[in-house]
Amino acid sequence: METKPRSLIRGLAILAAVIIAGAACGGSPGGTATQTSGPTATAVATKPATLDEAVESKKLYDAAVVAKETEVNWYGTVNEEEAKPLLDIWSKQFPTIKPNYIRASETSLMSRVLTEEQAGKHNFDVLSSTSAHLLTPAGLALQYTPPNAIAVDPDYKDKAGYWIGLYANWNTIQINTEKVKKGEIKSYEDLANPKWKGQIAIDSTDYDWYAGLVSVRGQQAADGLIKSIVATAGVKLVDGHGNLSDALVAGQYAIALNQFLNQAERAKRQGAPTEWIAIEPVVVQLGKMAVSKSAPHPNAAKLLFNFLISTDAQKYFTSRGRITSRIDVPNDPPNLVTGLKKIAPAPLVDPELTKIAAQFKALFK
Amino acid sequence: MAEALAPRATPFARIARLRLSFDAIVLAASAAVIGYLVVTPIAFLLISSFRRYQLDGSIGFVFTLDNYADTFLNPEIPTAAFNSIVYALGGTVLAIVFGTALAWVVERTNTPFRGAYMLLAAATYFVPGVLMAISWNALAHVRIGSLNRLLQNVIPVTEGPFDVNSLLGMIWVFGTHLYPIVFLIMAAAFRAMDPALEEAAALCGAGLWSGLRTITLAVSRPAIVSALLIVFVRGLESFDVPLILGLPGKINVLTTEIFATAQLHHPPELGISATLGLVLLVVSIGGVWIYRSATARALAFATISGKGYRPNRLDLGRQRYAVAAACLLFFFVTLVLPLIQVVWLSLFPFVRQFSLDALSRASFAQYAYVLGYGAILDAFRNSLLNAAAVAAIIVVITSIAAWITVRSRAPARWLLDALAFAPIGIPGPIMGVSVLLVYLTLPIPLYGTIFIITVAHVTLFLPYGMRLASDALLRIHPQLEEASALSGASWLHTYRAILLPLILPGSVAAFITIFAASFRELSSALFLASPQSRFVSVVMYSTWQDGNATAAAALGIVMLVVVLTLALSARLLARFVRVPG
Repeated sequence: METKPRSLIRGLAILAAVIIAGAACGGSPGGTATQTSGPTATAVATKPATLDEAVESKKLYDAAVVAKETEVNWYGTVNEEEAKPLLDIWSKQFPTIKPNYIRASETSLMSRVLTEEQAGKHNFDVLSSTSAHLLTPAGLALQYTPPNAIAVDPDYKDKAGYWIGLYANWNTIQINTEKVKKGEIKSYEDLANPKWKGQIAIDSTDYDWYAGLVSVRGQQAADGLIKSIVATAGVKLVDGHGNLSDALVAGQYAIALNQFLNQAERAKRQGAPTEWIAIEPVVVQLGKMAVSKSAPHPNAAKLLFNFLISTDAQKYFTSRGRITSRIDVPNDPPNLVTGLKKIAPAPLVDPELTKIAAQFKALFK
Repeated sequence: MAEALAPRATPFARIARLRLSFDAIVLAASAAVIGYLVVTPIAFLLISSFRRYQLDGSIGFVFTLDNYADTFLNPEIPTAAFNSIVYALGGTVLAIVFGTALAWVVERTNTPFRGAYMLLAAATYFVPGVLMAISWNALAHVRIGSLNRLLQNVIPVTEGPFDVNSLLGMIWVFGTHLYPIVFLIMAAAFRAMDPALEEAAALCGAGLWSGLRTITLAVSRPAIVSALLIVFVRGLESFDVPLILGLPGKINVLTTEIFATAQLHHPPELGISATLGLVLLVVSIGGVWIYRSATARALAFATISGKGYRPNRLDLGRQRYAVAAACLLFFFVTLVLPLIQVVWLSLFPFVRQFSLDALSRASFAQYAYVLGYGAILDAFRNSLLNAAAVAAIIVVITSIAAWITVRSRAPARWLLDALAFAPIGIPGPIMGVSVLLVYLTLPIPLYGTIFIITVAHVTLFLPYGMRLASDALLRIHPQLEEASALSGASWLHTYRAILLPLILPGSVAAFITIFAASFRELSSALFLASPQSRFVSVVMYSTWQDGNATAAAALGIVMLVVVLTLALSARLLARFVRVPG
């Protein structure tokens, strides 16, 4: 036969040998979450209750050191590029504990945690995602209130102490400023206009926003509003808030019926022609986190949990255009959401969640 | 009397006995490996289709038919199934036409630049599906597509003429992206073609086309059926193209509809996807049955016999330049154009349309970001080594398994063939969970290592190896092995000295196909990845998902450059380094 293929294989083999061989280990599970109360106006940086962050954090760190814990496993949905500087801050403060960050989508993190724990493999220490509250019904979350929780907005933490908000996703309308004039859209009702035919899109799983809208306006009014927008302008479905922002900025859509404020803000800061519009009360959905009840590194897990809502970590999140869950850390810019009324609905669990999701799917069919 | 006959009967009797015992051992060993790899995920698929999570303070399950109800009673399913079949069939037809035509040009004619075509086709396959979909969206979106805006200057339309968010658009993207699989399979078949057959047809007065149809394509039937099967099932399970292009156009296919249904639940019910996996499983087993019936008269496809032959090429005369021009145009449209769009995207912090004005603001910042990304080198190393290991393991296992299913008379051979092809229907996330569960339960320390992904990929891509190895074996006339055995060679010796060299073109095609498939694979890698086992495909997908499409584009370009550099250096190295043997 021809020798070409054989020599190709040889070449490949040689190349493979040239690339240094290597493999590695690691791995663990994750979760998801959301929350509620009446609309509250956001306070400007308030004085924190008395708390010496450094002292409390030192206590937790010492406990982890005494227990000879040298690693901590964080499962989360925050992208690696965003998590990296945060882990660097951690490593400076707690040099003897190596943080292993496992990034995956909300759904695969949850499936992974459930699979691991079900097989008796306890690998995750802290899980952060919008559905982290679902660890509670699975019996996987530790009831624990870290010292820094005292500075977290009361709307943003579980009353029972199983989870805490890591950051707040504010649900707003996003517009392409080359296609929508300033002041042209002041309410959701303004979207029910044939002018926007084919120009409106929404993420296909914005259930929490819809649930919030229902809790603010009531089922009938909320459904009526969405139906009128769908009937007059049509709403296209997109998978993922990031993609939605990308497509909108590219001119594919003029309006995102719903978008996380930080997504719009990030694109805007890169110079993209976009803006967000808050419709009060703004439905807030939380990126939450929980500590594992069977954490492999129980002390380091608490330290990480506390660290993620520390002033340093939260300041970092605000620098990325996210909205802090602490009342004493200013947003960036400080007046980003000042004075806006918000509502943080209690996180949905089944069977309500499935019902809401099915209604959402039917409305945008 | 009996003694007198004995000397004549002995050689045959010995061969028969030897074969039998060797068959038994090899069958047992390879069936064990394949069974081990495949049966677990299938069992898991079955079990999960009947159960749902029950979280009441602990992780429990209830056994129920709800997953089946959600799938089969869903009123959207008939439309979605129809769309899926149209999409998969349409894409398969495109891929078969393009892939076969190109393979014929490269292997059977003297068209100029044909050496480059293989590389270009392989490069196309290496572009991740997500990136191809993003690129075609930017090129052919009905309103903002660059191609459309260009054409709108020439023809009097305000929208279109192309609409990528349509079934036709999706078929185009799928077919022009997956034709390289067909190309690789068909090229291996055409390379082993005995030109005497074509010459005989020509002597009998058959024209080029009728010779092609009655001889070249007829003899390559195993390869065509293989290609058809693989691409069709890939179409049915295709997810990223339908999600990115179909969802905004409200064109639901089975995968996206079932994904949407599973997403209604928290935690997402894998069991709903499992029901689709089972449907695909039935389709793939049916496919194996079709393959086996279509190739039942095995000797009809044996082009490599004891008779010597020298591969020669058809002289196309002057037409060869026209053929070359057509090929180059094809690559321009299916590869260069999408890549130009990807490069354009990668030059800005956010998605911008083509314009001279924007060009002044272009920068390589996204490349700096991607290359400065801490673990990117690790990710490249992991992806490349894993893909090479996966491809090598599969090529070896399936060359043995295929011998059993094609040559032996072993009673379980049909089952082995079906088992080795079944994974093509298993959805990636199901594979991820089942592999995770196995290595969390068994005392084999693979959990948390890169090797757990290797195991998942070896299982997922077994079907490619199995089909390509069967095709290759069907091309070899058994008389060669018989001659070898008659001369006293052991089975292993025959395998090494006769079979391996002859199936090599098939093995190379399998290696490249599997290498690329593993390099791109996402859903199980996404599930099994850990900080120490980052993969390029996962990094790229996460980057894109996080709303950083332009950085994902930059990473895609870097990835292509790396893979092409490797492929070219492998070719060059092979020229200079000669290994004895």
